[in-house]
Amino acid sequence: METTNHFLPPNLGWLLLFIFSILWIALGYFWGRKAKSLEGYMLAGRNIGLALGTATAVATWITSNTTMLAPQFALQLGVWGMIAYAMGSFGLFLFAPLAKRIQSLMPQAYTSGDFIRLRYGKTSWIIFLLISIFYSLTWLISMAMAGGGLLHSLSGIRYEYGMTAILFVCVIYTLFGGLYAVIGTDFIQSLIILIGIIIIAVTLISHIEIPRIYENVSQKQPALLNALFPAAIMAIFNNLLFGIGEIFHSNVWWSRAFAMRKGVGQKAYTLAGLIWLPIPIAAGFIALSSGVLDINITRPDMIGPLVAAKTLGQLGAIIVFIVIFCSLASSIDSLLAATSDLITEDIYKKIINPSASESQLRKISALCIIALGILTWLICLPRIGTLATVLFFAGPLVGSLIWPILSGLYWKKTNGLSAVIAMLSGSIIGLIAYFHIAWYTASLIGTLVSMVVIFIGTLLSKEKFEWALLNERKTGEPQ
Amino acid sequence: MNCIQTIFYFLFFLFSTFPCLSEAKLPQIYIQASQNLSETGYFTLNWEIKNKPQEENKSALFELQSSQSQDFSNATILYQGTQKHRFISGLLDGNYFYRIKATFPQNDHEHFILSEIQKIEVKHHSLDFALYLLMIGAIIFSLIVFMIWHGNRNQKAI
Repeated sequence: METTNHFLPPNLGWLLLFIFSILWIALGYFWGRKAKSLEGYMLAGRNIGLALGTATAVATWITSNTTMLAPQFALQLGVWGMIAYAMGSFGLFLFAPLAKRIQSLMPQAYTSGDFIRLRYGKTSWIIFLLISIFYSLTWLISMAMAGGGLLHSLSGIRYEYGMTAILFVCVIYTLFGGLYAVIGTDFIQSLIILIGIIIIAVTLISHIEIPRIYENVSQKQPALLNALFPAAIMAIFNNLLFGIGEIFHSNVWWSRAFAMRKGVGQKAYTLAGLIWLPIPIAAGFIALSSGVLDINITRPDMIGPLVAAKTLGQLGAIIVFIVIFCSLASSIDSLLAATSDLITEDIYKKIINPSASESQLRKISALCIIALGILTWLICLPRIGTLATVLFFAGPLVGSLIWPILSGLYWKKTNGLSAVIAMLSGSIIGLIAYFHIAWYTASLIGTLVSMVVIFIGTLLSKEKFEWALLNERKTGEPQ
Repeated sequence: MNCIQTIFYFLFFLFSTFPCLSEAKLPQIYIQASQNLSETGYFTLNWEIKNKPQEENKSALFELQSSQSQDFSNATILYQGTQKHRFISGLLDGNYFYRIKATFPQNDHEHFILSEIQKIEVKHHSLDFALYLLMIGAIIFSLIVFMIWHGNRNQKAI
């Protein structure tokens, strides 16, 4: 879809893109020099402190989806939509105590796949890997698409060129520095994002009268203020569970838990949740002002940047450009690194070549980053849908992983068979809900089905799992 | 004589059908919605012109009109400009009608064409169903919180 009124000339767009690309690549190279060993490359030496830990969690969770999808939620589902999106912070709050438990049970592990393999066995592990890699790809695709679309909306740079440039830059600096580069750049990116959002929010509030927005919305879009808006009510816990499912299972978050120093994980994730919570509310609020500003909305996922750019003029467009480029880069790099770790550790080392040396594994990890970048690029070339439709397709799949992970961490009696049935039935029935009811019910229904299966399976099981088996270095490779 | 008659009838046929031929080439504007029945109160409208040289298409100005009655007696203008899409949201239950007026500037005057009417029915999900899902979500969430709290409290005992 075209947007004819661009807020920045393409040359300025290219210049900004060039400056930040060089900055990320240089910083990636600088921090990457620390990564001497495989553990350094994949887990930043397991030595991340509270400030970096919090910053990386905030930056990774402020994705393009936060800055672009939160306004879309507000525009589609109103005030409840904003709140529903902000509920994503509960994923971080609840992962905080989980991170502590994970660190204490598996101090030497590398990936979330390690946990599923050791706890439930091979069948569950393969299903988990399929879901997790699929989810990572949808997240990557949604962000690369968002990046291309944003650059086009703001500066007229063609979608294909913008999307390619963002992916290319992230692949290059992740390749240079592994998790060191990712966490280091995340720190800078989170600072830029927070400063940018504060500037935009303060300027917006001083430019637009809130009573005018209220009057406009209540006259022209009354359902958005309706406390009993059915679709929005359904979306509240659906989105919350989607966020929890994303964080609980994804290696993006597990790798950070492994990378943080002992005792840091719980505090870092709690702080990150608190910092993240108001951001979707602020981002969502600006979408509701689009009516007063008389903006023609062609794609709902572009509303946030368009409102900010229209209100703040060219300077605003530059700030939005930088904020969203940072939020895209901070999430794409994390996903590239975490997914390549998952493939290297769980597929290459555990299945294809168990005797692989450190240098071989590092090469494979780099190849995975390149391959993921190319695959994402190929899928993104035809622009297939809005952010929500792409991302929420993975909702029921990740929702169905919440209970197998939780019960696996806390209950000795839950066995592999229950986990397999829970993951499969939750995913399938959740997807049926996605297509036959609505996308904003799929994660909730997937999680419900999976939970019921886990409860029944655990009640019937006679297994008593030994927690020590999760610490692979102590016990050796279990069969 | 027969030959002259044949030529006459041929010319008569040609001229009489000429308006039909030219009518077939008249520009037309089409409006389409992403869905005709919306359970969320949001949808996207797309429109495009057919049978018009591209140069003239570029200069076309569109006006999106909306009404809750089919005769557009109380129509409101939602958009004026050159873009060909509009996302609409926040509608309550009811029938909504949309049409596009495309205006083409031509030398010293301008002419316009109107699209067919696009009807959208907004019928939100049942509130009972929504509240039922809300309750299930709250229960699942409470159980997750309880399990983590209980699990961490009794880590050694488990």
